[in-house]
Amino acid sequence: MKKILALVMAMVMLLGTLAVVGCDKKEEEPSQPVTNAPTEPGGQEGPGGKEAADMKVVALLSGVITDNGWNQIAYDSVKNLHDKYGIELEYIENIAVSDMAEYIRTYAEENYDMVIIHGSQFKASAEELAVQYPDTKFCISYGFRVDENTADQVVDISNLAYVGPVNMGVLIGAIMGILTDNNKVVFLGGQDIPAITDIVSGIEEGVHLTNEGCQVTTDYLGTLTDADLAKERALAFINDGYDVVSASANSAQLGCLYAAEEKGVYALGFNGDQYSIAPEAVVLSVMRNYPAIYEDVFNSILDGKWQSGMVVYTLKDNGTIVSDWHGWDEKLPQEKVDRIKEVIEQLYEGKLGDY
Amino acid sequence: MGVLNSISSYIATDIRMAAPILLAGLGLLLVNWSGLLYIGAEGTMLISAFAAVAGSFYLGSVWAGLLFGMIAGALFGLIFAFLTVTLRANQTVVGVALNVLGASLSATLNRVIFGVETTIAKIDTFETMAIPGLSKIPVIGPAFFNHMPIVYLAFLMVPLISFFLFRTQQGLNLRSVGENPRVSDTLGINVYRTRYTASILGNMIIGIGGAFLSTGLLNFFTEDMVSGRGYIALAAVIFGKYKPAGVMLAAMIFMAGNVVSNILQVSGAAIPYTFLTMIPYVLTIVALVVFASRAVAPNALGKPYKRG
Amino acid sequence: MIGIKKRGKKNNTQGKSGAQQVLVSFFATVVALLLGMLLISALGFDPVKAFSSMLIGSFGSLNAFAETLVKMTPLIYTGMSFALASRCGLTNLGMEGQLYMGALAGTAAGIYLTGLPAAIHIPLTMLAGFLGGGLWGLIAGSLKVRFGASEIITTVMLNTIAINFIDYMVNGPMIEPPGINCQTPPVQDSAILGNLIPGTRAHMGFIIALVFVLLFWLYLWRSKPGYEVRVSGLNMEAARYSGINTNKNILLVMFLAGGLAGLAGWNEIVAVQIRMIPSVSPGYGFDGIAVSLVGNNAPLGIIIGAFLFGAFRAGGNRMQIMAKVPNAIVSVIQALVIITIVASQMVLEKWNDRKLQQESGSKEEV
Repeated sequence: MKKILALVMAMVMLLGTLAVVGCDKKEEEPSQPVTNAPTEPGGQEGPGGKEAADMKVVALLSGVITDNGWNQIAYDSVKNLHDKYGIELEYIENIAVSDMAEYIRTYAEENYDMVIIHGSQFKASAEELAVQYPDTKFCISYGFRVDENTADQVVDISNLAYVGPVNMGVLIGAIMGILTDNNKVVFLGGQDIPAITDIVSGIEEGVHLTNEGCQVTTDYLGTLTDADLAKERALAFINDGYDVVSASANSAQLGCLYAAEEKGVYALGFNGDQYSIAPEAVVLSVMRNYPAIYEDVFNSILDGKWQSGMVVYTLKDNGTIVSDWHGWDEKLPQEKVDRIKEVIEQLYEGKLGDY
Repeated sequence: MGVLNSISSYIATDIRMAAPILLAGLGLLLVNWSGLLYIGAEGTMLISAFAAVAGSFYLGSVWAGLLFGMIAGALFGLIFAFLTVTLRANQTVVGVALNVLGASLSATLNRVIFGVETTIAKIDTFETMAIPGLSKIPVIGPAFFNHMPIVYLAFLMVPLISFFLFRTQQGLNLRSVGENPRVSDTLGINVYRTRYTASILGNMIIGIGGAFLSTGLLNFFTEDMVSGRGYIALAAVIFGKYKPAGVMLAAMIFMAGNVVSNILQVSGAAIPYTFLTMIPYVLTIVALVVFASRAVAPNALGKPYKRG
Repeated sequence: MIGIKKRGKKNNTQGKSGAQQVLVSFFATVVALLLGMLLISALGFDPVKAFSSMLIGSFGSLNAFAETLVKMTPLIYTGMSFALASRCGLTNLGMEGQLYMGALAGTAAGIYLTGLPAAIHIPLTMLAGFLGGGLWGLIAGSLKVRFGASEIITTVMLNTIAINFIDYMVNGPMIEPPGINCQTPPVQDSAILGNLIPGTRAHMGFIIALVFVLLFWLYLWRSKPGYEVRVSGLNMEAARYSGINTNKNILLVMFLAGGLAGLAGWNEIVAVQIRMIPSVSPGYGFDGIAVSLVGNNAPLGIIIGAFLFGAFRAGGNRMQIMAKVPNAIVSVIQALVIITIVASQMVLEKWNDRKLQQESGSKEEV
């Protein structure tokens, strides 16, 4: 009996703590840095004379919003709309591919204005259902480069857009090429999936834009969660002489940044501003600018300027952004800082090629 | 010298990565020797990894974090013991449930406490502690004597637990409960209490493993960060034939699989990464097949015991 | 072996205690849901809204009900898989991996066998799915028989290996041209199962699963090999002495259990997914443990358990939509359901024992 009592007590205590922290949290809503200047809430009119704040938007995600990566960016995007325009913050996590159709149907039937379908694995469901619900605008986060091979992936449906930044890898690679002293840089992807593969495929091109003789290694970790494994993998590369590390592997990539800090080499954050993970290593973070991209799409719906089909955001279109320097522009050799700033600008202006 | 240095650093990697699995394995060893089959180590490690970060964050000391991790582990041990000893529920099923609970509860609490942010909370973490003198020995020093305190603790626990299990009366009692609870009962050993103690203490040690992962090897908690180590620890116990030294060897061999993957990838071998990912798991199965003999498990392992 | 032994003895006395068992499981689920509500409100969400939307999501409309059927179908298979192994005293934790291998084999048969009428093609894909899962299960079985390697460990390891192998296959040899999306091409039309309720996603796979439950029952309770399996499960040693080839039984049961889990994967391919993708199962394999637990390893119980957890999955989606409850909480509640159900079953058993003792004054041997 005593033991049962003890267990009950423990449970109650646990729940009690939950209640306390649950209440605490309400106060501090994290704010997301975005590039565009904040717009006044409301004021704009959308389809059917809708106010911006009345727009119904939802993000449908394949994973959790705390994955430090792909899904977290989508959350940041709707959070941004929520903060700026006062729309309801709505997202659904962990949707299996087989369930996506059901979710899309649910939201379409409730007359949502904008449904963000976050991931190319949901392409088939999106294409199937977009036709059935012409009043809702569907955005599928496609996130890879369009060329002759991929062009026929796009199905022409008037209320479906394939939305994503491209050439992030080129930007990351270009910066890595400047940072390296040993001329050996490594980029580690989590898994060979389109959202990651697209970045990996641009790295080498980017590095060679700024550093032709540089040795570039790209490989995959095989995990999106195992940060310790990622850390040890990165350490192995660093011990082999690689002196710039970057990765795209959701939570696991944090381990790579941590490894760089431990060994005193440079790292680039990706997906979010990851300076805080390893302040002694993360020079800059490169981020898919989905918050601004989806804000753009949101406004296009409001203004009646919606565009269907492939809606690609190149570097020129601000599809990819670079974080704050967090003081690194003081710590780094001046010529590297200047060169990086120059190259970023050139890439944005399209002077180094059509990225 | 370059080659020697590489070898030295690969050994250090192996030892570091083995430490959480060794700790989890040693904890499981205690639980198993009392006759309880616990497959929920993954869940315990996750909840402890989270609790350690929370503790270190709130109290500003990594040792407080460690304590939090151990308490969280102990709670899981208590729940497990209550369900399987007092209520005699199926141990495998409860273990599965605790795995799910550990994963989902740590994820939920993490989100509630730390929110959805890309910046991470600054926490106190373990520092490496070079052993004076010994760490200066070339090759061997950096490989073996330049680690975090918990790593030394994990490896020191091997002889300690071995001594406890095989040289002390309490250890003998514990093992006899695992071998034959009925006889132990008639000899005056309190089977229930022994199993409760083993489950709670064992889970505390597993908890140290989880805590070390998040506040030692890394400085943050992320969802599912344990990534299968709890299961590998299970295999390490069987492969180690239920002996602490064996568990140590097993943990190091399994993690050598990761070291091999590292070497292969750095050297640019054209092997699909999915196969590299499989290496530790295949190695585990191979090790079980080659080394595990069938007669070593405690006799009453997994069988509920009813006082009669 | 794993503590199934003791319960197995009770389980055989179906009938009154079976009904009692279901009632207790139901009650335990209610308790778990109440605990879940407590947790949800502690985290600052609306528990009433959460659970009402869950009910609406699983039973609120024909469509919702159909979703519950869709979700429960693979759970029937994985539930049977765990139950069959349990009946033989084995713990099959490898349903997830077996499901993946079954799905892969089923997909391969669905894509590469062409020009067949549906009446031949569908059974062939089914056979492939069964073999894919079955052979994967057989690996664990033979490692146990040949080397004494515990199936509890090997099945878990084989899960990770299978999932990584599928990652490789859908990204490499079987990827859909031109090789952009990690998925295989769709299976032939002739391999796709028909619809059950028009206008919804409910499909004929549900009926097929029920047929397999019937086969499951016939095998275990109406056939000699099935009887031997159950005897082995009650006491492996005694079964061996009485002349039953327990090693053969272990191999057979791990093959059949793997095959059943493989059918869950096959079902997902030919009825829901149409093609193979890296994350084909959102955890149906692991849910099978809970299903079989609620169902007490018995045919009717498994259907009820699958229905419960199917409704849980369908409703959990709705709960996320309506009450904005974080997804992880749904898993917490699922864990609570498992824990309360095992706890309640044991409390019931203790209570029965006590009553028995009071009535006869005799003590039961463990």
